Amino acid sequence: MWSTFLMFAWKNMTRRIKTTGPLFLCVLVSVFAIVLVWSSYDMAKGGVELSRTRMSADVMVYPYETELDDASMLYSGIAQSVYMDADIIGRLSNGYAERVVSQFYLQTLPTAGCCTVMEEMRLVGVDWEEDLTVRSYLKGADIDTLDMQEVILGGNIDIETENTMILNMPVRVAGVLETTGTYLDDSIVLSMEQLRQLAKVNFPASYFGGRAPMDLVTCALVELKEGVDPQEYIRSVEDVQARKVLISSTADTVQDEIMVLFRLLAGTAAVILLLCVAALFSQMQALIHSRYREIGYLRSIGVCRRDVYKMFVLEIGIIVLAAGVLASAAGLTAARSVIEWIRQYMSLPLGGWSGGAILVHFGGGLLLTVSVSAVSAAVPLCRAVRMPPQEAMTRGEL
Amino acid sequence: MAGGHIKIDNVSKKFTDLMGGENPAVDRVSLDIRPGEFVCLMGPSGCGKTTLLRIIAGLLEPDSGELFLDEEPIHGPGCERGLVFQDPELFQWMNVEQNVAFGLKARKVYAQQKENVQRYIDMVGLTGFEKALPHHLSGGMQQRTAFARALINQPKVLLLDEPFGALDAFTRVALQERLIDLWKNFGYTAVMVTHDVEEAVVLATKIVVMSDRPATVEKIFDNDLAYPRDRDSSASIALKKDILNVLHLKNGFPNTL
Repeated sequence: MWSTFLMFAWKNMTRRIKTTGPLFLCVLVSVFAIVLVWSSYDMAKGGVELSRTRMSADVMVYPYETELDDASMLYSGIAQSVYMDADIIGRLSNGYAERVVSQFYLQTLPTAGCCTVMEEMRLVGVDWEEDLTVRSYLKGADIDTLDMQEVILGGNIDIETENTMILNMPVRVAGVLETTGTYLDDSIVLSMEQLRQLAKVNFPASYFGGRAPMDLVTCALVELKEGVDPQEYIRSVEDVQARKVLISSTADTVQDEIMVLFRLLAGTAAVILLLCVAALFSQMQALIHSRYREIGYLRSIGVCRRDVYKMFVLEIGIIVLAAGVLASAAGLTAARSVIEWIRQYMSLPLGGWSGGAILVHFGGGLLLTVSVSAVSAAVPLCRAVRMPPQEAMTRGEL
Repeated sequence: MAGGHIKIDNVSKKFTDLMGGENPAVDRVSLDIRPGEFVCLMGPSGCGKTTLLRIIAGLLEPDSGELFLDEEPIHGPGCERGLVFQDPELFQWMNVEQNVAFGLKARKVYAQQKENVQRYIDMVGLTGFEKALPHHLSGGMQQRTAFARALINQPKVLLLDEPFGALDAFTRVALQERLIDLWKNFGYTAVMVTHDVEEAVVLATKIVVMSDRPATVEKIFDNDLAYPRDRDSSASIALKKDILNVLHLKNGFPNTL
């Protein structure tokens, strides 16, 4: 019986393409808009929260000369040839600080050759034992020490694990980081000592302003003692000539920016949804009205009301679910592109997406599809099926 | 299959127009149609005979009165009452075989009775056209498909709403003969609405002449002529004249109707 209903539904759909087509489009556009905004928002919000949770540092310190804003420095970590003296670490370590660690950024040379890293990539030197940011993102088992010639790859780095050379040094991949949506995804992490040595060998001294790389750091990350007010700490290191960023307030600012942007997008999506739902109502009405005679005829040959319902629910279900599946999948795919696009204009961490999150958003898209379609189809369908067969037969087409 | 016994008891039906005015269509009609009878409903155009047929089919609910099929009250359509319309009303995207099989599928008995599909197609003379789409068939062939589709459900009652009204004279005569064969073979009760007096005389065992709107039973003619009936026999002509007289005298309609 279901095969008959299915065949009936399919034939009806394909031969009434002028009615079913717009219906399909309405569902497609509305669900796509909602899934796109919802997924993008969750992805961005997840990225901020992940960064905030994982990053145990409270304050970030970096040179005044860096041409980046706080959020960009925190999330994009764009490697710039701007360094500060390493002795700043000692001056930042006062009674308020639990520990102070430094990072040294560099980039691979833009040369290509056999067994070398082909593209210019960011290198991040860290003090692995004391690290406050990178280590918490490590996939799999923790690594106690990061030996010389060992590297950790960011989530987006795709290079061979064997025979890889970085700055003319053969390296071994010791681990891979989770995708964070921050600069770490496109970075290769080495021990800071190793990276400074590579910098000394491969880059001219002028690159570091004539100073020795061993005496320089790119930034410092400070973890404060329990209960210390970050503002108080910043006041206590006022004399240190570097820019100090409160990590939590920067994350709040980014989150606020995300909220403003996504409120705008959500508003647009809501308007699209409203317009599409209005169109959907009208399309459903038209679809069912044009079938009165068919309903009447089916009833006249003894097909019971429940089976007529089934037939129409199946037909409408095929159209809207096909549109819903397509819209949800497209919305999820496009969300990533939207985030990337937004990141070009503002510093935005991008949370990694688990299979569960994808399922939730996909399922949400389908739920929205079913709800909107059920609401718009219920009234005209009930009215049509409850109509006396004779009245139904004198209206609509077969 | 055995024919059904239809009892119509004091049935009335009126329609309401857009201005709220009431238009009575059927007024206190009572009929007793015995199992296996072939009844033709005749009357002036628009008198309400089709309304009565649709009430029997369950497509319309009467305002008052009751109907029974084998002593069971009729409320709504049912597959024990097959319907054939003037327009064959075939599903245009289904071929002959699929159209005929649809009734079985709708009743969820296709698996058990699928061999009947070919049998009924053969019976209505459409062998070789199983895969043809309706728009590739002549009007008569489409109507035969509609007969097969109605009969495959093995109804106790076959309701026919001017089934030959849109056909040419040759096809009509051929289908009338086939209808008689089918009726004799299956033994169902047939109720047919027609405007054609000769058709009623050739087919029916009982002819119910109805009055102008609202329809009431004007006169019932029993037709005991033996099948196959000769259209030009004196008995047929005499019966035709009697029917026409009832129609003509009461309503002032010409004999052509």
